[in-house]
Amino acid sequence: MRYKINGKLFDAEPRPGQCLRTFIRGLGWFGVKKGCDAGDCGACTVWLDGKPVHSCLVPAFRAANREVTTIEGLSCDGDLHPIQQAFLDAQAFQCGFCSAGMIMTSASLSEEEKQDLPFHLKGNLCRCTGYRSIDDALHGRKSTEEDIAARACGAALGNPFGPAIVTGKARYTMDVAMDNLLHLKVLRSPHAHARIQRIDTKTALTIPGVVQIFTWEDVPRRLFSTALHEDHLVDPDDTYVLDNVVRFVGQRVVAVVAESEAAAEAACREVRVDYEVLPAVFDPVVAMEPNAPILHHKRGEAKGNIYAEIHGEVGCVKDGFAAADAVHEMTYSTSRVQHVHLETHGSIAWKGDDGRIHVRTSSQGPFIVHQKLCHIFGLNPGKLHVFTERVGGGFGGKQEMVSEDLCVLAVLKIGRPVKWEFTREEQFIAATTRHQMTTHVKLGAKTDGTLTAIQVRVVSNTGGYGGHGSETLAAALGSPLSAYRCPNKKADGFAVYTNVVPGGGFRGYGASQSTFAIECAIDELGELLGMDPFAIRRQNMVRPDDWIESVWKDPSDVGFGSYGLDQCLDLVETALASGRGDAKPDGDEWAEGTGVALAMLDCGPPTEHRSGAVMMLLPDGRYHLAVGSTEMGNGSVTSHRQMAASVLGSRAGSIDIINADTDLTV
Amino acid sequence: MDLNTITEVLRPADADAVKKWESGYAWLAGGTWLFSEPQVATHTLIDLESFKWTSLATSAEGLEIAATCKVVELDRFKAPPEWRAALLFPECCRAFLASFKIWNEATVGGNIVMSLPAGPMISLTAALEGICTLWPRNGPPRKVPVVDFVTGNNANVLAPGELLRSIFLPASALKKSYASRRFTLTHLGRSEVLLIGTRSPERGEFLLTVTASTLRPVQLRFTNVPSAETLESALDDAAPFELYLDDVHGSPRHRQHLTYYFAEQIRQELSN
Repeated sequence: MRYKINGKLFDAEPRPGQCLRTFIRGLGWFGVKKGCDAGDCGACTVWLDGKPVHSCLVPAFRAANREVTTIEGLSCDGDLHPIQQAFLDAQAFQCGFCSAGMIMTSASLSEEEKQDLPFHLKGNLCRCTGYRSIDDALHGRKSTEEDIAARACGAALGNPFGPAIVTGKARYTMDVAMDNLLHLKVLRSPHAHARIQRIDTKTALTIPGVVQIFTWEDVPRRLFSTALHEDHLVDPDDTYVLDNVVRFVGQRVVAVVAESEAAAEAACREVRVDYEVLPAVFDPVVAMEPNAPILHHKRGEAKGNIYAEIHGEVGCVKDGFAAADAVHEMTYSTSRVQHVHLETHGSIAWKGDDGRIHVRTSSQGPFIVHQKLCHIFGLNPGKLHVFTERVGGGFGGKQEMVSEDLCVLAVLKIGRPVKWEFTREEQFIAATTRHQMTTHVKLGAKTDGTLTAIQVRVVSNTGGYGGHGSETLAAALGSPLSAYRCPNKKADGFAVYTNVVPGGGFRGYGASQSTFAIECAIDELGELLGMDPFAIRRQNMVRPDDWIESVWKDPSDVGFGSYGLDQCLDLVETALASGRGDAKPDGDEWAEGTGVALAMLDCGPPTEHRSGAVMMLLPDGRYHLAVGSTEMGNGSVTSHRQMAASVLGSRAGSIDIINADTDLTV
Repeated sequence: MDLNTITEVLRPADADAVKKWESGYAWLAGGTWLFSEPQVATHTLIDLESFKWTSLATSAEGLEIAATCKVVELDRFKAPPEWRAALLFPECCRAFLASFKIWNEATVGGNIVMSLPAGPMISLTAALEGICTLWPRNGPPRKVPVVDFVTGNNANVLAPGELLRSIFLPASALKKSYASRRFTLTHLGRSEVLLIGTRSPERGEFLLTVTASTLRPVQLRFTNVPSAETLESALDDAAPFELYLDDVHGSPRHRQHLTYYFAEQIRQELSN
């Protein structure tokens, strides 16, 4: 069949059930992205005979003898399409993974259609939530400033990778063609808690294209944590690459490596596993009870399923409540949430001509992945290279090693390059989530609203594995309690194993959950005292001459650099009172209300996660900057380049930057 | 996504060429649902596009919509001015949760055959008294009203291999005046409730079609606009509480509340 893609003719035969997205990518047009692979996110938008379609839903054979245009075909003769230029001018991207689809959709809209962007762009998701800047782009607003020598720092400069992002040339983790590539897929547990008795791979191995199947008996029996911290001691070593006990529905049981994803999937369906189903527990409070089924025995039965507990008190809350005129007490709960970075987890590993293992991955911490892989497989650190190119969003979800280990295992055993790309479904059932937390808050106050005691008890559900459980618990008991001044504060926190998908790092890192609880409680205390939500906060919020103190008596290494909390509240109050919000619909049946909440996050110098920078003057007069930290849409490459420019007194544009590569950066 | 279990795509010249229906066969219309999740039990796709059915055929009797008519074609259909209810076409297209880009590939028939409560093509064609023509394998065609075609959430009267050929909207229904109400919990989200009322200009007949809030369409027919009490009690009888859908897009209680709330609004609007 003949296909015309971006003006070029191809004679090719797609597989019968192949969708247009993978077919086009197979021909080398990597600008077409996979976000959901189910027609919802629009990252794969291309034009079919000039009309925008989600290429993940279009059977590839339907595009035969028609004209396909991808982001790479939008600009002609090196000139950017006006929409590409507009996205660049407004910097309408963060990680940039959605940009190809966003631009292909936007470029198909008439001027009239652009007046209703919520409707016309509802089939395009930007997980970094950069919709405001996309709206700017489509209305011709420019947000970038000129790059002037010695004035780069502080100016609104564009992302150095902007031109590559808007043209579809920026290479994300899966955007490479590799010869001889094998594909990895895993069979996942249907049980919440079970011991594997037998695995029969005989039939699965007969499927054409299947190269090798790995079970728990094929992996180093070495415990680790999938959570990424430079100080590995802060996370529990409770995980094996593959285990003979499964602790949540969706846990990997068997890994199949095959010549194609189709063969690997078919083999997964043919693997027979006998499970001894064990009693499971899902509620962390129930899991703390003495007769609850225990998930991890090696930590000692005495602690049961409590992976971590943290306690602290300053002053004496007992006295504080005794002195209170009013006491409010309530339990608040927040649910699990998946990060839904548009680029799913995945990595590609291979053995280079240099005899070393190379891992190209979608990670927030390639250096720590490097450490962990060396630990698990007993590799000489010099024989391993881990790097990212562009990462399509992380949000904390990629501070986790969930794909690299199996790819490296397969490369070590087979010797050929191996790729494993998560499906969107796998993200939901088997990656990590924000920790579900239940927070009990008790507040005491005088009649004028002055707090006399704050007490919280947090129960965090860390799921089948400990991961970020203790660190997020510490964060939950940190900043949210420091935001209010009170002589008596007490906190008790528990991170508890249960048979659900593990919790992980997620924006706010535990603090969001307890902030929600404490802010609700402050409002309700105000109501009890007949005080306005602004007034009770102003009465009690931390002040610039206060210590930033939660419940620990130890001196803190964090102090106020600047203070604007009072101004924040003033601005919000003024804005709410201005009446410039949308009016409520007519009719008495519509209730109307306003609300306010405050959140504080203290950030001090890190005790870990340090990265370095190396700068070189190149023969052509440009500079080369290598920084170890990861860019996943957070803009760090833009700001690092600005910092370097301020040191050099140069334009940011004369500095080339690379990042997050264990060979090339520090 | 790639459907890796598919080993063959058949492109017969007509549906009669598919005599023996095997488990593992699937009719492929727009593909926007089939390609949105793994179809592990399916090995063969039979391409309906190869039949080249005329998407929209207008006659004095009404409008014949082929099952393979793309949503975008229905949205852009230029109806004769006396077909007042044809204004519902673009309105119901906008009731899709899916992006307008999906309309370029998705078909009217596909949406009806999915038989989901929020399927707006079901709301549209049921309210306009549509009649489905079904082609069973090895049997004569049969006709079923859209309102009876859908029997539950993701359930319908189709036998294995039976094909939805077209939906006929009678001109008498297209000429009616109408009123509609819709609610979504999120802006531009999935319909929690979609009610359409029509009224015959000559005879005053009032027809209320409840969709999205209930597991299947519920239709109430009155010789004239009923009183509020009559309408309420007819709803009580036709849609017991168990018939309201319970999912993240709306609770049964809220769906029921909105159904009665909007039904009364439609009754009043069409009373004038």
